[in-house]
Amino acid sequence: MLEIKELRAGYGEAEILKGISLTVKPGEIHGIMGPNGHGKSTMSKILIGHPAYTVTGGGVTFNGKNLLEMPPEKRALEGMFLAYQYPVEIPGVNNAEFLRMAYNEKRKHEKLEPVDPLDFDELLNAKMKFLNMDSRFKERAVNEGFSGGEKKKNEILQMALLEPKVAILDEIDSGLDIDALKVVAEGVNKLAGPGNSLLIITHYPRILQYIKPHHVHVLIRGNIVRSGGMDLAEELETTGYDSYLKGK
Amino acid sequence: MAPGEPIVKDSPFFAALDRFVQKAEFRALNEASLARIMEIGGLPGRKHEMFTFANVRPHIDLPFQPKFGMEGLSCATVRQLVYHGCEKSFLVVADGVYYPALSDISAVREELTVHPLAEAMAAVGPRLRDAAAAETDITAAMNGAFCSSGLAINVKAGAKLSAPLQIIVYSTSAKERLNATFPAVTLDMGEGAKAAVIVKSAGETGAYLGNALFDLRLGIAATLDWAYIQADDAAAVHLSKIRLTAQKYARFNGVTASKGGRMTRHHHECRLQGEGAELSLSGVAILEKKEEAHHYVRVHHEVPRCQSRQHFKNILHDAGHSSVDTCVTVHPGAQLSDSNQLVNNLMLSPDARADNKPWLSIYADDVKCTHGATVGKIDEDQVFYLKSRGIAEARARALLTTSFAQSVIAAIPQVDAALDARDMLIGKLEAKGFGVN
Repeated sequence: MLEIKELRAGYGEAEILKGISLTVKPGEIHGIMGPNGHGKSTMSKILIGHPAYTVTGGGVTFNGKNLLEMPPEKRALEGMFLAYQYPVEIPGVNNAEFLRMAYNEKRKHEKLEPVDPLDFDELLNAKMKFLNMDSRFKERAVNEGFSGGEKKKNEILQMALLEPKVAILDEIDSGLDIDALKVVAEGVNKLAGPGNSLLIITHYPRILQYIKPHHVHVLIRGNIVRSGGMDLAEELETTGYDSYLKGK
Repeated sequence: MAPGEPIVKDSPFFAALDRFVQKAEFRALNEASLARIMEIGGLPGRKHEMFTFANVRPHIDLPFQPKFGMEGLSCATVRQLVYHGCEKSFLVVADGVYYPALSDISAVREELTVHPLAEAMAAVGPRLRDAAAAETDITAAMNGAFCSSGLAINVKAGAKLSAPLQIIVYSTSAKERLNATFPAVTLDMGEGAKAAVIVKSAGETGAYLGNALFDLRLGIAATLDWAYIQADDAAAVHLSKIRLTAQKYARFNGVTASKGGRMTRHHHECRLQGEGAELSLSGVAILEKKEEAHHYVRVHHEVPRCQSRQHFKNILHDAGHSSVDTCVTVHPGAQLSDSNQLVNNLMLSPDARADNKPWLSIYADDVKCTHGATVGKIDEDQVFYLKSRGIAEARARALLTTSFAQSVIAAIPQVDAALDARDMLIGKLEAKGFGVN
């Protein structure tokens, strides 16, 4: 589904990713762990095509297509999704209208008829109920004045609507209290299935207790230095990243 | 006050004055205003601090012809301008003159009275004269110097208007001369009265000069929702002065939507005179080509515990030029005043210009006052966020641009007026390729 090969990329002069390789198959859940500032968020931004980052080497294929050649909106329409660590606020843009616009763009891409506001409202209500979200978030501007947890839920709501093939969840656990974390994790688990894959980016193993990954990778200084299963996450819970950081 | 530029004897102003036939009812007002213009020192120049940003002189120092009334204005033309919900509560002021025959106030007849201004001058003349004698804005003084008509509206104490009242201000354009109109509208809201008033200013295609005065008085606990839709032709000059006084617990909620044009300038002079009075004032303009729209606002907190909120938004394309010069004055003793002023500008072209001057003059020590202004482009992080959800770049930019204006437009409580403002303003963006759909 997603194949990252020897990916090197950076921001301005600085090289941040130094040759990452990772293969994600349909239905797989991967946990990408590592301390802050070692390239986890950079990787997610590059995968969705953020213009601030430059790819300097390697490649990424997504369902057999060259992902890096696609503009960001094409990547989204093809099924790539990022739940942002810090979702932006968009004052003046009604959340429900934005969600319907994004939803209909996807339908248009799939050569389906657009959904009218009433039908969409029904669909949206169902998805919001499923995520235990207050319906008043429909009428507010996108993320404006949302608490940290509400913003994260709004990201997962978008994921629930757009049903991406590969969803990257960047620090989805940050800013969430334990109850909100459970709700978000429950939502993500219900959305995970044999046809889609998840990349869970986190520096803290707790989220992986709720969304169990098949594979766990440790990202240090722009490289995946170790890969394993759930046991690796458990090990990191007790040892931390110190041994990896001292290693080089 | 910096002096204006003296009016020379052979200027278009005096030529117009020579042709101007005073009406007896308005003589005292006309003369007090003319004396005030001479006292201030003539037409506004760029050195006059009130006109630093809005250079109105080239637009008013022209051979203009004061025009009073028009013939042959058809009901069909008027009907097109009436908002849904105001079909039985609208007043028509055409070329400065109130036309009862073209108006219909049957839905609100029990709750208010309306008179041609000439008939009401015995009652409102003294206050208009007093204000004229102290007027600092020469364009408003010009209205007083030439004013010969208008409207006087009284909303009865305790009345709740069952429908919004629409005032249509319609102007005509003539090829051979520059039509100029100088209507005045007085609106008195009795104690506890509640009303929504929508002013729609529009006119024929072509140049004209509209210079209108609105004198609004809010009694104790009166509430006025005020929407001002400036939809004049792009070649027109539109000048307005809104004088407002608010007594104890009175509330004013005003929104101005400006299409802009050759020169558009709104001057709000608001005096909160009773404790607990509240004022909300917002404005939105979308300008292109060489269009201009300016706000000059003075809010006075004269007594304790009043609140004022101001928010202006401008979207500027091509060589559009906006300005917002707004000052909140907290008078001595006006403790616990609470005010904020915010101006946001979205610049879509390197040739556009936005002048911003939100400022404060505070003479009390226990107050909360904030002011700020932003000038910027579309936020690229917002564009990227939308793109990463599958929305194409052009559409994302259009959505962000239109939504910038939408929050002020949405503050207009009457749906049809809000839709009209939306079509008028967003329509300009859509024509520029900022279409969301």
